[in-house]
Amino acid sequence: MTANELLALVTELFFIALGLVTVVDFLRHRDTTRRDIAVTFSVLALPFLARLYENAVGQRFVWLDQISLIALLSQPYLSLRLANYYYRVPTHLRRFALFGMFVAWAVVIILPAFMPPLSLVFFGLLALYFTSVNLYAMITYVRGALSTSGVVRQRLRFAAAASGLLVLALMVLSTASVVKAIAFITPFAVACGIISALCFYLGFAPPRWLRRAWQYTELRSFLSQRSMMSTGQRLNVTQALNELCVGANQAIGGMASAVIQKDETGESWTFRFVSKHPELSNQPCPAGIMIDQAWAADRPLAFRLTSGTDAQDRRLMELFESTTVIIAPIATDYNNWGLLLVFPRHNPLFIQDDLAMVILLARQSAVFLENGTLVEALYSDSARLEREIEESRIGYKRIVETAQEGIWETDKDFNTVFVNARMAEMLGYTVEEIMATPAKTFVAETSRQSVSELQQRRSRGVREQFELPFRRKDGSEIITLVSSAPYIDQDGEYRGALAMLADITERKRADEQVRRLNTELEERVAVRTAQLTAVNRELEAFSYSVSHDLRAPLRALDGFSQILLEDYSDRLDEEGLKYLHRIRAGSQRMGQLIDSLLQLSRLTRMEMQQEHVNLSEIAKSIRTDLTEQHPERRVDFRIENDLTVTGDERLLRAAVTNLLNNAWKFTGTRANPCIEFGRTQQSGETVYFVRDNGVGFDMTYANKLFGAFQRLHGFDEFEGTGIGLATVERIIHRHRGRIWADATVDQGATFYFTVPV
Amino acid sequence: METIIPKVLLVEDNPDDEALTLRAFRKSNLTNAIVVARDGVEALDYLFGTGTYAGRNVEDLPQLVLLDLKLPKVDGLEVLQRIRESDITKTLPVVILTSSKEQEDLLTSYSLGANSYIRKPVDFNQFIQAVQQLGLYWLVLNQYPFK
Repeated sequence: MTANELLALVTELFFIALGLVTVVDFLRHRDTTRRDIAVTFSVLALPFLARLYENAVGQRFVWLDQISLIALLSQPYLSLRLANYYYRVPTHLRRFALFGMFVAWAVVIILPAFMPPLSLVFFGLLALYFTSVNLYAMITYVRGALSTSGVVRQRLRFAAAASGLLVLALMVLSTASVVKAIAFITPFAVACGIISALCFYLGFAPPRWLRRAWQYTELRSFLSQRSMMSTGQRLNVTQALNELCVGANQAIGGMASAVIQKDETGESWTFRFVSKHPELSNQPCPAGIMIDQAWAADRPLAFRLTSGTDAQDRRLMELFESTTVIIAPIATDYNNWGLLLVFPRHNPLFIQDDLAMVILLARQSAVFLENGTLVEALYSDSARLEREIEESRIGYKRIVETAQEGIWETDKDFNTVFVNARMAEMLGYTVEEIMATPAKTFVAETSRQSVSELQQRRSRGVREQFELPFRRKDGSEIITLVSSAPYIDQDGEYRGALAMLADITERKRADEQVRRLNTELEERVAVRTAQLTAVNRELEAFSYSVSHDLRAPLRALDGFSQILLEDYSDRLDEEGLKYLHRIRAGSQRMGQLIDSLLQLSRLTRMEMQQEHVNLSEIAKSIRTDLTEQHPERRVDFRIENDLTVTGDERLLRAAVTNLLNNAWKFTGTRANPCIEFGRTQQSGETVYFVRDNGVGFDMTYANKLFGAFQRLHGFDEFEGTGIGLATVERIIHRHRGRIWADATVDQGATFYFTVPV
Repeated sequence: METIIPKVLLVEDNPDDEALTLRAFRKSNLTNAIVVARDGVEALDYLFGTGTYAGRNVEDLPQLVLLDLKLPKVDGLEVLQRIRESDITKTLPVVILTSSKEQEDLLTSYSLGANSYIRKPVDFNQFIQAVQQLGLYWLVLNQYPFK
């Protein structure tokens, strides 16, 4: 076996192995990408397999060669298809590849015996077709490798190299078939083929360890980048999110990444961080089926935009102008923090690698994010606490500064520890001046002696309120009301005193004035009382002389008229006698009037007693008097029992007597006279009444009822002085009660009165 | 005037009242001699034998004093007080005969030792009745502790 033959065998075996590996890979994972890879490499392996088989059996099969050829001819198209996964191949190019394939097939099938007289032109075209399409595939991979990073980049590099070497091998082979002179060409082509196969293997079906190695390289760079950062940066959630997104983009060639978190309600999702679309941050994220699935799956999932994609999911894809998304949970053992969304630039060719990378990154970041979140919460808590402390400090400061009381804190030796502006203002000093001087010096000289005693009391724990005069800077004195309390520290040790001081100088002055005014008032009242007493005395003297002196002439009038009647009646005619009678009647009536007037004035001057008075008993005694005085009259008296009030018995007796006398008088002409004395309730008030069925009166004149000397009836009808009801009214008024009447002519009258307690 | 006919001393400043009172006495058939004093001083002079009555036998006391309260010079209440103060006159029956109806006067009069208090009514007939009863009681029925 020559070296060339060995090389050829190795190449064959390589391609056959590649085909097998991809088929096995497909059978293991069964996705469309792997299927296409498997088909592509099976097609490449088929001719080698056929040759191996033919060599082994030592016989050539035309049909097998035919099939091998057909399979080989489909390679450019299949290669393009594969590239299309990754980077969209223009349609016309794909059509061109398909067309080329069919033409090649047609030529091979229709002209089976064309091999020996191979048309140079056809061969040239075929070579051109092969090289151009594979070259295009290579360019696609190169572009892909340049535009992406991470494991994918590595794999695309190999894919590009493999395609390039394949093209090179084909070109060399086709050149060799034309120019046979160059001896080393065939081994070179074979070597290219071997390396190409190796590259295809590494690019499209790399062994797991290699993928791992690449992944860890990526992860290492990601982690080392993070480890370069300070703790603060590492615990900064935004920074960590940025790192994760950038890392994910780099690792799998994403064009954009985002991290979303569930809201506190747990129902909607919000973008926490969006690389390349910062305007979406903190915006709601359209969350459809795939988000839910990824959240529930607890492992990374890839989704491709299809016609059946959920509307929300479609919106999300459109937001990032992508047709694919990889979603990985960001989770620690304890907590699902959120979801990482990576939108690859192209349809991923090696989705398993991408998913594995993404989950690695997501897991790594989850710890940082969780810690960062905790730190953020801690920071915001401590910031809030600080703010609250500051606010409460400001609040206290404001209270102290705006207090209308002076606040003064002193230490054990009565040196000022703190004094507020109001206190300084009260004393006319500045706060600094007070702070610089022993507190005792501000106390008015007259009271300085008491300071040490006050200090002692404070040290004994006494809290108290007292008045203390101070000397102002301008020399004037103010009097303060001091509320002082000892300041005992946490160890129970006496540290000084705290006092609130109110300036009561004005108040004291006002108090003094009030006291003076009161004294004045009392004096004035005394003078006025004396005057009133004097007036009263004069009035009494007047009444006395009225009762005494006014009556004397009347007695004379009456007496001498009587004498005339007795001694001189024979010398007077009837007319003269009548006049004498009139003089007597007039003088007697005037006597009654004077008596009534005196009674009335006595009632208003008399001192009142407060005692329990049984009006029912009074009424009953009056009834007895009346019936004894007028035994000829039959009056139906109805007196309610136990009508008791508080008041002056003599006055009330006078009032009830007047009312009952009136009732008695005005029922005099009735056939069945009835007088009622009782009690009723009106608007929650106890009202007493005297009711009769006498002649009544016209309510038009009710307003004149209680005036002195007012009479509603003629003398010839009923006798009376017109003083009675005025007297009753005065008595009721003196008891702070009210009196009113209700009557109808010929239907009787009712007098109501109240006697408040 | 060394008679022992029981006398009545009427202290009254008003001549009308004096006339009416005297008539009332007459009408009541009271035959007692009536001595009239027109003011408090005169009344006291009569009783204690001073002033215009100097030298009068003070043993010869009237059987009854009718005393008005409102009097010139010395008023009735003071006269009453003086009467009660003196050993000679302290048992002398004194009836207040006045126009006043004041509680004050009533109380003071009784507390100073008045034996009775009568208000002069305006009606003369009533006045006569009052004087009749007065005379009947004090001059006829009432017993004195003779000295």
